[in-house]
Amino acid sequence: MSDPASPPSADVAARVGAVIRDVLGLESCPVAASSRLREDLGADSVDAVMLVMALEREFKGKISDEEAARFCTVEEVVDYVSLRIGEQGLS
Amino acid sequence: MSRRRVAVTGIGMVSPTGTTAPECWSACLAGQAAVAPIPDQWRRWSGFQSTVWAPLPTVDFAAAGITPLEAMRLDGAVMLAIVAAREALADAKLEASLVDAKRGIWRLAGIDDERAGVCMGSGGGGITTLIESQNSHLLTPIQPLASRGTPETPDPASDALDTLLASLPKRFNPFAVSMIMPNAVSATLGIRYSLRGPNTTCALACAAGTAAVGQALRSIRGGDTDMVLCGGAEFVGDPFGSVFRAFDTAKTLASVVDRPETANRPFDRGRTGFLLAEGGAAVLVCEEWEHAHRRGARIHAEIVGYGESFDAYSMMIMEPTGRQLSRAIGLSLADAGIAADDVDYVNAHGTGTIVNDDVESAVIEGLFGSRPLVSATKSLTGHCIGASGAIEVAMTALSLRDQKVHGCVNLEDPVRPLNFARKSTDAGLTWAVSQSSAFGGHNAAVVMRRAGP
Repeated sequence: MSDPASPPSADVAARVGAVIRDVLGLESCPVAASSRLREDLGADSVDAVMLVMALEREFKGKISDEEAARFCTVEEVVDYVSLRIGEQGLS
Repeated sequence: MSRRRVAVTGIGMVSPTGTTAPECWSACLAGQAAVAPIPDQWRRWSGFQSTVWAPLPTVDFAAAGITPLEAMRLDGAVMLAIVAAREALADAKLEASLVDAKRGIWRLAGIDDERAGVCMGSGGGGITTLIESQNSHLLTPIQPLASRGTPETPDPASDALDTLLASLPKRFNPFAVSMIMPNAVSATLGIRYSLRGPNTTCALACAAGTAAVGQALRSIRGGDTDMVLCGGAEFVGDPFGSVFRAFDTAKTLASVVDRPETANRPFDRGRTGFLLAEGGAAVLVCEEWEHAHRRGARIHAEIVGYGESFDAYSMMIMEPTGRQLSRAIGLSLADAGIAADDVDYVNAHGTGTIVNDDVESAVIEGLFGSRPLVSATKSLTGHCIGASGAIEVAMTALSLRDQKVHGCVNLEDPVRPLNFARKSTDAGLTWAVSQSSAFGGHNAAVVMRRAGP
């Protein structure tokens, strides 16, 4: 859980990285911003579904399936969350 | 060539009486029956004839190695089965090491994975997930009807709708299919512990767990496997009491007149129905005798016989002569190579419904007379549906190991003069039978022997 006093976007990259590592079972492996979820990190179609559920759980909100389908790199996920995160979660 | 023998080398259990096998066993020996009022929230949806059930204690799923991410894609029955399986494997001293963190896959040391199977029983499969998915599906277009703020005049309909809408997950669970299917319990355990032998599911309602142990016996004895994780798992605690209502409206549940704590009273003349349990699971590590001996495993008891029959009479009422239940028990005794007079203890199905207990007690009297001790685990745990048979086989194995029988609680005026254990009792036990009957008309019986040479 992030510190509610800090700017919401400050730790988004770290939290997204942690969620991705958790979903893909990467333990403490570093996850580069440019890493591609499928090709570089080995995500399959079930992992992609799990990733969206895990992100919704972490950031408390709803991610549309259409937009989630466009996630290719770690950076794109961070950008998506950073853009939509607010005090009430994802919007 | 002599017949291959089957040892119970590990037991894991979750029931309304505890979250581990020793907890459940101790509570049952102490006569601590689980019973509580149904949740107040359920009354928003229906009036009920029965107002008591047997809720589960808080289960620490994280301590059992189930991550929050895994929990999002597992039905409650599967989660309970994992807890019981983990305990059973640890009890059997089968060490598991993680081989795939992403998929949560472990591997058991010293086990030939292709000769190790899984056979779990289930009554309703992922029934609570089905209910939640249906709610999510039907209510999606109704979301805008959620009321804004508190109305001046309380309105039960909008109150109920708001409660329902607030309970909905953010998305329709994309894992719903794999959570609802009845084989999810067996498949999950097979994946989790890398067991690549036969992986089957027994869907025999309330006899499912008993049948699963019977199938494990046949699989090991027949040479297909050296080890089988077997048992049963059930979870029916949906937040709105839908499953409870289904049993309640069929007039099968214990109705309470005055003292709720005595509502669950199998084999008593004052019985009114069964006490539904929120859920439960029991998993047994069944292992070929020499296989168990070679690795120095402790043997709780031996599984020696199995019999099965079908009433072909009614989906919901036991055939009144009990002929097929009697035949199933007779087949299990013949399979074990013993006579009815050899049996020291009968762990009865004992639901507490009027017809069941009448028929079953007559069957016990007809087969065994009044010599063996008789008790009903459901008098303590409530009725765990597809898990109940496995819980009762596990309890019977513990009875043979510890030479103790738990009581059949609340039994004051027995329906028939059998040798009922009304309180927990020390007893010299060599042979025991655990039997189950089920909606549909299934009958199944397992015979066990005290571990010996």
